[in-house]
This record gives sequence, C-alpha cells and structure tokens, in this order.
Amino acid sequence: MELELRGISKSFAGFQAVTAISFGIEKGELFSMVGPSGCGKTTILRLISGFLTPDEGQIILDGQDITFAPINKRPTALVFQNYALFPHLSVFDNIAFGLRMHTVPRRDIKPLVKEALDLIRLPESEEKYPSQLSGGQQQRVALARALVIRPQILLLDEPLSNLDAKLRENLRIEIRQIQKKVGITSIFVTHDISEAFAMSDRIAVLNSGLIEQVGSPVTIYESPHTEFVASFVGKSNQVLGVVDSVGDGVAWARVTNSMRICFRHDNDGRIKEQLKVRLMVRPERISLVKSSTPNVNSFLGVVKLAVYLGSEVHYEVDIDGYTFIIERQNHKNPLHFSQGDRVFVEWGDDDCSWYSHTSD
Amino acid sequence: MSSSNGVMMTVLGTPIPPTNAPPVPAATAKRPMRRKAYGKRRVNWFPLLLLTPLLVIMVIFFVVPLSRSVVISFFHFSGPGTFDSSQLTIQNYKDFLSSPFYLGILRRTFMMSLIVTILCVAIGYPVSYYMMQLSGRKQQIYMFCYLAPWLINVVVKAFGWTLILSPAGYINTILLNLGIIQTPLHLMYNDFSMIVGLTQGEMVFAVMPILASLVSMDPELRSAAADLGASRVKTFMRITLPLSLPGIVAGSVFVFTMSMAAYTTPALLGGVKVRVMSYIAYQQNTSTLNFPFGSAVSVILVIFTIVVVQVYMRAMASGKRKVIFR
Repeated sequence: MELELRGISKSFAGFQAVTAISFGIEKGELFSMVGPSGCGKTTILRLISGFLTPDEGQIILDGQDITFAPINKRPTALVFQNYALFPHLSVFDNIAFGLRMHTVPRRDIKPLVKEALDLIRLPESEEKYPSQLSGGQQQRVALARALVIRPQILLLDEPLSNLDAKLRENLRIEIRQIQKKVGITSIFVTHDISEAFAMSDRIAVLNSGLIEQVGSPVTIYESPHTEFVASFVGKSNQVLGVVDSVGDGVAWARVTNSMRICFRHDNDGRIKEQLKVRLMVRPERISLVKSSTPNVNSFLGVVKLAVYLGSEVHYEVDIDGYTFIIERQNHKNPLHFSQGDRVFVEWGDDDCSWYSHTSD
Repeated sequence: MSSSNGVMMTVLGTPIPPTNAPPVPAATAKRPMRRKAYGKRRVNWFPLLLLTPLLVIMVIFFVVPLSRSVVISFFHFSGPGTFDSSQLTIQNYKDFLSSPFYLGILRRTFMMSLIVTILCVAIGYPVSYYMMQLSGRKQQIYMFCYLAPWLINVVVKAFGWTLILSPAGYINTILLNLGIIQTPLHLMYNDFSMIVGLTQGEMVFAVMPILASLVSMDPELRSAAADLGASRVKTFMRITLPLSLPGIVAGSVFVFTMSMAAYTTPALLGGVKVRVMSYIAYQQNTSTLNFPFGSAVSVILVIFTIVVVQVYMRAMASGKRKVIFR
C-alpha cells in the first residue's frame, strides 16, 4: 500500500464534507473517486495534496504520516480543473517552475522540460504563453508541469470537465497512456462515470462524504453494493423482494405473486430465507422474446414505450405494475416490438445482482 | 500597450469613446439592407450622444483653459495682469529652465511625488493583500475606511495634521511628557509634513487598483505554486507580485500624477519655505500677475508629468513583462 487514508473526517463550518473515510492505493495504480458534486471527492484530494488538513484521521504515504506536512513539502502534484497555468510565464517556464522550486540544477532543467513536452506531444510550444493555447493543450501543459517534478502521487481534479466532449474522450485515453508509461500512482476525481470506467484500475464511489463502494470498474458496474452505486454508475432496474428459497449458489426471491426472481449468491451465508433483498438487473442484460424460453427469469409484460435510437432500441415494459427499462443492441435481424405488444422479458440468474435492502 | 493607454486617458481625465460599441438594435433595423449591400462604415451616434454632456464640460472647463495657458505661455509679459500677444517667444521657458531656483522647485516637486508614490505603494500593497483575503462584506468595510478621508475637505484634513504635527501637537506633547525629547520636533511646514499629508490622502488610489489586480487573480495560481514546491515567499515573488504589476503601475501613476499636481496640501502643510510647482503657478497667476510665466510653469508641469509617466509605463510593460499587461 503506497498511500493510505485512515479514518479521515473533515467538516467546513458545520457541513460534514467527509466522514471517516479509509482506503488504500497501490503503487502505479490509477484510482478514481466518483460521485455527485458535494460528495467530498475534491475535499479528499485537497486533504492529500495538503491544501486542507483533516479534523480526524491520518494520511500515510510509504509508511510516513504526512497528515500535517506543508503543501510544498509533499511529494504530490495536483492537476487543476481550470488548469491554473501561470499566465505570465511561457509554457517552458510553467513546466520549469516546479523544477526551479525544487532547486534542480539549471543545466538539467532544459532536457527535463523538453522530455515533458515530448510526453504531452507539444514539442514546439515552449515559447508560447498559456493564452495562446487551446483548452486541451493547456490541460496537457498542466499535466506536464505536474509530472516533470516526478511526484510520488499525481492528483487530478476533474481535469477534463472544462473541455468539450470529443476532446475529453481523446485526452482521457492520452492521460491514461501517459500515466501507464510513467507508472505513476494517480488519483483521479471526476463526476463522469464513463471517464472513471475508461481510465481507472479501481474506482471509489462516494456519496455525501462516505465511500459507498471501492472496486474495479467491472465490480462496480456488475455487482454494486448499494442502491446508490447501482443507479449512479448506470441505468438499472431495481425491484424489492423477499427471499423464499435458498439453494447452492442460487436463491429465489418473491417480488409479486407472479414474479419470482432467481439470482446467484456466493454461499457466504448472507442470504437467508425471509431476507428482504433489492435485486438489480442492467437494461442491456435483458432480452425480449415472443415466446417464453426455458429461462429461469422469464416474465410476460406489455411494451409501453419503444424508442429507436440508432445503435440501440430503448424499451419500457410493464410487468405487474413494475416498469422495466430494456436496451437492445441494433443487431442485423432485430426483433422489433411496438407499443402494446405482449412480450416475454428474460434474463439469466447471473445477470442479476442483489444487496440486502436496508429499511428506509 | 492598450491597457497603459487606457490608464493615461483616465489620468488626463479624458474618457475615450468605445470604438467597438455594440450597435443599437433600433437603428440597425432601419437600414439592414443597405448596410449589407455596400458594407458602408456606419457611425453609431448613440454612445456619442451619451457622452456629449461630459464632453461639453471637459471642453469648456479643461481643454479651452489648458489650450489658452499653452498659448499665453508663448507671449511676452508686459506688466502685471497684461501680456503682449503681438509676437511669440520662448523666453518664459528659457527663464524657467535657466533658473536654479525654479529647477529646484521642479526637482522638489518630482522628488516629493516620487517619495509619496513609493510610500503609497509600499504601504498600500500589504493593505491590499490583506483585504484580498477578506470576504466581500469585510472588504467593503475596509475600503470605506480607506475612502473615508476623501469625504473630508482637504483643508480640514490639513488642519487635522496640524493638530497632530505642530510643536504643541499630539506627537510633540506625548514625546515631551515622556521625556524622550526636550524641545519640540519640527514636524510642520517642511517636506515631512507635506509627504505625510499627501501619502495619507492619496493612499486609497494605490490601494484600489492593487486590490483590483489581486482580487482578479485566480487564487488557484497561488495553490498551484505551493503545490509545485514554492514557499510562501517564492509564491509571492514569482506569481502574486508579477501578476499584480498592472495594479501597481496604475496605482503609482494615479498617486504620482496627483502628487505632482497637488496644491492645497503642500500649500497648507508645506508652509512658506517649502514650495512646489503648482504653488508657483498659482502665485504667478494670482499675486505676481505674470500670466505668461505662470502659464509656462503649468505647461512644464504637465509635460514633465506626462513624460515621466509614459517612460515609467513603457519601462514596466517591456520585455518579458509585456505579457502581463496584455
């Protein structure tokens, strides 16, 4: 564990921004923090970089407590959302700034800056000023400025949110490639889940100052632990049920009189009969068929809405008063359904994930 | 140099009409076809109309008297209150520039203004820096405190300084009673009292532009500098100070120009021994009634000030610093 946060809490004038957060980050990993605005992700980043100090808890870097270390003495570098390039300095001087502050010998500065400019593929811009660069170029210079001082931890605070959609997608791939090439441990903050999916080794989903779940993109998407994670990271169909039968690796939950859903579990003893569970199935995992196949989860419903979206077709199907959203890829020979059609809605027991339903 | 020209214009009190003023919709709608067809340059009269009252006042009370002074300064003095306008001469200027007495007064005026400017910026900068960190409401209260002296008549202010600085004033009384001094210090009617009075009076004109430049600076820049390893001192020297340079330049130009032209404060606090250019111009025009020479003194003061300000601004916005002033 290279960086570890232990029970970090922080409040601002009565507002609890972060509550008893703990997590660890491995060397060379890109760790994302996602969540809605005000969830505390930026606060955590600022606590790590030293702009804020926590009310409680410790930040451990390589076994050393850096909780109260001054900003300029921390081996972290932050890439700001608004780039924060120095407008009165050229691209060269911007990138060289950190090196000069770390009293790198004058003769070493030039090759290091050149190397950084090559890394961000802007080799000819050293004489330019930030105002002469596009937003994407500015953010790449900001990245180079942070990387050139060889920080132990690179912190990225929504670095792509001020850029347009197309550029954002290109730059996130580029940042990920550079991060892998340099092998630098990075923490990436974003409110855009697709960005987090595209870039991260692991993701932490935060909500109102608490970590809801930490895991790989696959785990977060396929097996969300909470209702919040399930809905935040993608579209989902969620129903409440009561477990009425537990088998080896599978269990059944009754949702309505005619709807009994089969789902997988890990045999870890958490599933018991009479347990209230919330079941979640992603819209793209559901198929629609004309006649029922011998599938474990197959329910008859009525199409309420069918929207053609080009690459996919979006359906809303009513089953016993529950509305299911279904997304079907536009395959070569698609079965099209229209409003009012009676269809069978089907998914496998492994397409379904569950979490115990906390009484709310 | 666009920003520095802007400063100059404000200093001279001559507002320039905006060249790229937005078109007035009603006027545009009338003749859209013609405008498109011929691409004729249309004069937008509306902004000009709004400027008219001010322009009229400026012309009558500023441009005309100043031009008149320039003209009279080239006439011969032919007795108190009269002048010979039959032929032009540069004798008045020769008299001034060959007289050690008058050159000494120009030098004194310049040195006094320079010291006042340096003091205002040196004292005003930390004040502005402190105010920058305050919330909007507190900032307003502080700004009011610095503006408040301007709500008081300059004569009353000078009298206030007399109460503090005179031989029987607060400072001398306290120092005498404490036994620190045996005889009162000469704090009044000299360079000291004049500089103190001007610095106090003009400080706010350094504080306002410096504060504006500090407030408009992205606070993340200071964070970024610290994050990249800069200490507080280095962050200030490398980031904050250079980026607030336009504010410093604007503030020092305001204070310098106002000090060069100051009349009341030097007259009341400088006494009879300490004279400045504006006082000489006043004396020549009202007591000696030598209008041509008085005019020449005024013109020299104006030209000297403009030259100093221009050289200063060009020097500040040169080389690598150019980018800050864009």
